[in-house]
Amino acid sequence: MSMVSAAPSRRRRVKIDPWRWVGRFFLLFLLTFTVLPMLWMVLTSIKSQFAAMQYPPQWWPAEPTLQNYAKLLDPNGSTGQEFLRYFWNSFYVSMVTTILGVIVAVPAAYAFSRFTFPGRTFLFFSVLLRNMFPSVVFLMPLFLLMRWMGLVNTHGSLILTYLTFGLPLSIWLLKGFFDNIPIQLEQAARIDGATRFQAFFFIVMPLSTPGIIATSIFSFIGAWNEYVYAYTFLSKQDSMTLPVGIQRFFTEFATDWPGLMAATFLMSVPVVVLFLVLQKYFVRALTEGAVKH
Amino acid sequence: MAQVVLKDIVKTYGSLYAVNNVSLTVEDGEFVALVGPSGCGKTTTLNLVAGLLPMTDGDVMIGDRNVTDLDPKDRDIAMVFQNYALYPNKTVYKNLAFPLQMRKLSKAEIDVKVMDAAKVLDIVHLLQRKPRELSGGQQQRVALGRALVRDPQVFLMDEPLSNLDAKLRVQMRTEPKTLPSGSQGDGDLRHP
Ligand SMILES: Nc1ncnc2c1ncn2[C@@H]1O[C@H](COP(=O)(O)OP(=O)(O)OP(=O)(O)O)[C@@H](O)[C@H]1O
Ligand SMILES: [Mg+2]
Repeated sequence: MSMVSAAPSRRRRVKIDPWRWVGRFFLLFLLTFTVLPMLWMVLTSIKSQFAAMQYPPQWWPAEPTLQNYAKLLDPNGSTGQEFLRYFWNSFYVSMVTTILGVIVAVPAAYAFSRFTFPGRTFLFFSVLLRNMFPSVVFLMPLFLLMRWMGLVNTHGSLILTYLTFGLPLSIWLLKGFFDNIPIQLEQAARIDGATRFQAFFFIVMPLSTPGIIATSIFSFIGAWNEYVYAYTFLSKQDSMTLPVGIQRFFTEFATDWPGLMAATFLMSVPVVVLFLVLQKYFVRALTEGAVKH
Repeated sequence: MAQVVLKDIVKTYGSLYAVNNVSLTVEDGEFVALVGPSGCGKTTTLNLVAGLLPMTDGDVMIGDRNVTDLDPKDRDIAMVFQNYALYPNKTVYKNLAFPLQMRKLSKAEIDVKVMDAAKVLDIVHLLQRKPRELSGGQQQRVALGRALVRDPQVFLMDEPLSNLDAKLRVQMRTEPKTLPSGSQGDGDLRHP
């Protein structure tokens, strides 16, 4: 906060700070690097199949069309039906992962933050064990496990997997949050007549909403974008999630680039919306959780 | 209104004795201050009486009840914390109302009691503010208010008056009996 208000006065005093400009150019470079492909994606998505394949490429489509989007979002057409089903599957899997993740991570992080119990440190670090290895390492073991449990080709297999991937980060992030909430607040609440649970629910939870929201976004995005496990665990067309579904769907015979790009764009919409709406909590979470008062 | 008895209370952290064998009787209506150097165990003692820390050994009686194994909420005490511990996301009004809400009083009763306490402590004009928008002394008055809205048997106050201005300090120290609900504070009150 103080940084923000200090910046303008500083700029007036210091004339030219070369490092500041180096920093700006670097940011500009990074921005171009990330935005250009997305721009190209959007531009391609409003071209016709023919225009998309032209060489030299049309930078700006001569006859922009929303045809591709209309086709994807039309619940009566076969393309639309399929796309919307993948979309729903992805949404369902990500949502359940997120909700279960919060339900498990909040009490776990709270316990790690507030209670001392035998094996606490050991448990806390073993939570991270999963994250020490690249996730593909677990592909075969998890597949065998899922088959043994009869979960292959169900969304449950993905939800369980994504939970094991997302939980460590959620628990660590939330623990940082709870650590920063003075224990006296809960004590005051308990003296004021609250049970332990009420103290947690009425006092601690509201104070840690930024953290809870940030962890929710993390697990939602993680689940929403995941490809390899979804590709391995699900083989039935109608249970597929978006990343796999889109890829199968549009490259089955010949790649329909504009259609693919439109679908990809639509896939990024929920994440972008989520981020824009909850952005302020998110930033607060990353800074607040990190700094000890 | 009750007698408070501490019987041989002990609190250890590993090999450190934070509170070593303290026995103390505070009579009904009596006003006792624990004084001692920093780190001598004043806060710890108050926390033990409040039931916020598990006691290593000893007993605490309030009135004729042995409260040693009771939850803080069932001990019928009020406490002002050294760092005030105001609920940062609630307005001053809601801070004062919280203990009454937890005891399931009606909205009207809550309003009356909160306004009474606010008048005594001269914080009526601050009721809609959040704790971070208050000065240190104002925060302390809110913390006092949160203890005073109820009718507890014991008041525990941890350095409660250090930030008050002279006038209010004298008033608080000499007559906690003029408080709104007419509650008599028996308790451990201390200040540096
Ligand atoms: N959680 C803890 N773990 C280990 N030692 C502790 C813990 N809490 C307090 N202590 C120790 O217990 C002793 C008593 O602490 P306490 O907070 O009661 O002191 P105090 O009398 O309130 O001091 P002050 O006037 O500075 O507030 C101190 O030596 C302190 O270091
Ligand atoms: Mg102290």
